[in-house]
Amino acid sequence: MDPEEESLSPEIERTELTLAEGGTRPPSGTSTALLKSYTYTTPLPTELQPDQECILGVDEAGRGPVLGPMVYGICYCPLSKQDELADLGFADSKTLKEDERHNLLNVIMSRPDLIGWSVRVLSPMDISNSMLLKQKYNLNALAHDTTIQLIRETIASGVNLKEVYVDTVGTPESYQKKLENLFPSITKIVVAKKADSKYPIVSAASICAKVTRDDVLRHWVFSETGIESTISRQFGSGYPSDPKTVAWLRSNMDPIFGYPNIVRFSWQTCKTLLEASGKTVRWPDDDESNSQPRISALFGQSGDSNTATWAQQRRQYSMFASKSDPRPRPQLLQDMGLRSAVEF
Amino acid sequence: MVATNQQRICIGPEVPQDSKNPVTMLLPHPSSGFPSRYVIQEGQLYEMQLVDSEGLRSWFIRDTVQSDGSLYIITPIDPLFMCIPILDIVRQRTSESEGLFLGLQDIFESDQYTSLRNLVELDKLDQHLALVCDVRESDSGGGGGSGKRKTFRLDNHRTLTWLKRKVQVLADKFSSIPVLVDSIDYTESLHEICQTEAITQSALRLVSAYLSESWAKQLAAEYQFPELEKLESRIQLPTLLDFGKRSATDMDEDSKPKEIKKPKMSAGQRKLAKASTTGMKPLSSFFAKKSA
Repeated sequence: MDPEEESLSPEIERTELTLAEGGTRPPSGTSTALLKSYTYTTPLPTELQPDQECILGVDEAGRGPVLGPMVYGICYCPLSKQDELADLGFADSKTLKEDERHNLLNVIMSRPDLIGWSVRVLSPMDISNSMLLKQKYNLNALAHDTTIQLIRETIASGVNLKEVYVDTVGTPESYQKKLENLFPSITKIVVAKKADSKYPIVSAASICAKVTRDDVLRHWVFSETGIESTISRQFGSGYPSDPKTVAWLRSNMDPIFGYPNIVRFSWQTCKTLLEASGKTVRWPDDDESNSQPRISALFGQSGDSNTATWAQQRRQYSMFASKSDPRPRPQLLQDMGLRSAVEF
Repeated sequence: MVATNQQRICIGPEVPQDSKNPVTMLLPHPSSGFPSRYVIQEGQLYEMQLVDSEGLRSWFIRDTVQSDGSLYIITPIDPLFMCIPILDIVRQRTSESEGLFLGLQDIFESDQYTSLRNLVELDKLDQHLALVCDVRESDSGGGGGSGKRKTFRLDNHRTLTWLKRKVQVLADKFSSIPVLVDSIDYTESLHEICQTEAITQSALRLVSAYLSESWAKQLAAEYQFPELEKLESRIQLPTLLDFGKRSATDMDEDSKPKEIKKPKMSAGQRKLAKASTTGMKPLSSFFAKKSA
């Protein structure tokens, strides 16, 4: 399995809907098709004083699944009020169900005086495209850059960050050093695994990210024409290890166009399925690096190149026909794939 | 839904509203003498080429699929390229005689290419022909002709002069055409003289694609590329290491310089290597903030 595709078993989301329809939706969701990544940011906490020292937590949601967005969330409050935050219900680290998470976001939103938060929603398309660039831009790099961007924007909006806590999947030490170098004004940076269970501010950020992701996935708008009303939404958990998810992938693959934009087509799972059941594509670039020039390129004209036809053509057009063998066209024209038209 | 076979995707000259539909015809390709497709429109001659889909590509046109994925390209061609091989043959030049002076009707007459006579309709044809021919004007004798009649006989010297001008015109424009610039493996370290020779050589090759073998040879004889030849031979000299590796069998043979094959880059790699990044945004701006 791709290192990118860790399925964090304790957190397998059950998207079987436990949330009653008609519940309020988080403001960080979207009502249009998610093609381009976007950021949602709350206003500054209303009681925040200029230069008041703040604490900030970072967490993500949806790194492992093969469907839907990956969301990075930050949440911050004044340093002096961090206990108040913990008391709101972020001290516990137990695994939460979807509706419990949703309720906790409501709790956060009920305190615009105290808490500010922001999420960056990375579209499946952007994730896949980054990972498939020739200059590899992997998920870790994407994760770091997104986190850095969110922290920077928070500072730029006027928040005096003094302590930052980041949940990480990879090795904490090097990432922590990197952040310390980038943000000398932040006096304490802690990068840790399972930070959401250790630090309430990270737990809060985790809620912002997860609820946002849940919402985007639940209310996914398919940009592909004509499938919105017919396509199944029984994705399962969205993890590649979930048989329900794999079954959904199998039955929603188009042999030419692959998958709808909800799917991260850079995931190994998808590549395997496409290779097995999709139509094979021949890429001109692959041909070029290992082969003969095309016969048609040599002669610059259409039609068979076998000698019987040449002889016949020479007789038929003997008045002007060249006595010698056809010369190859200049390399440039061959490269451009241009040849003279005969039939039309 | 599949579109009918009568439809093609073409890039070509604009057809004015009130004019007839362009007509395509088969004419002898100047290089091979075999039939290729041409268009005459508003007195101009165009050649038709295509980017061949080789049965592997199709076009999506709104909600339909056109199975022929070729792209046809109709571009102007200097009529003299078409005329030179024709004039060369009809003058019937021999070692004893310079050949015949012929009028337009006789020049562009062939049972093998019935469309040849359409060339007479080309705009200012006699002015074009005068660039490569000796011209005689005579009072048209009987047959009810009114006024003077022009006859033409191809002249080799004038033709070569014209062809060299063509090469020069292309060489002068060379650096302003990106696909041409990319087609030469410049390195920054190439001497300016080499660059000039490389450009001229490239222009010569492109012009020669529109010439018969014999004319291509005659034209090539007018050019020297001493700097390029020097460069080629420098690249091919065997190194000391190569001497060590020679097998017993070729001990007695002349030491031929080994041909060092440059690893061929794919078109994609060449494009990337030459790609200019001016005006490109860094990757981080790709993830721009949504304005709330």
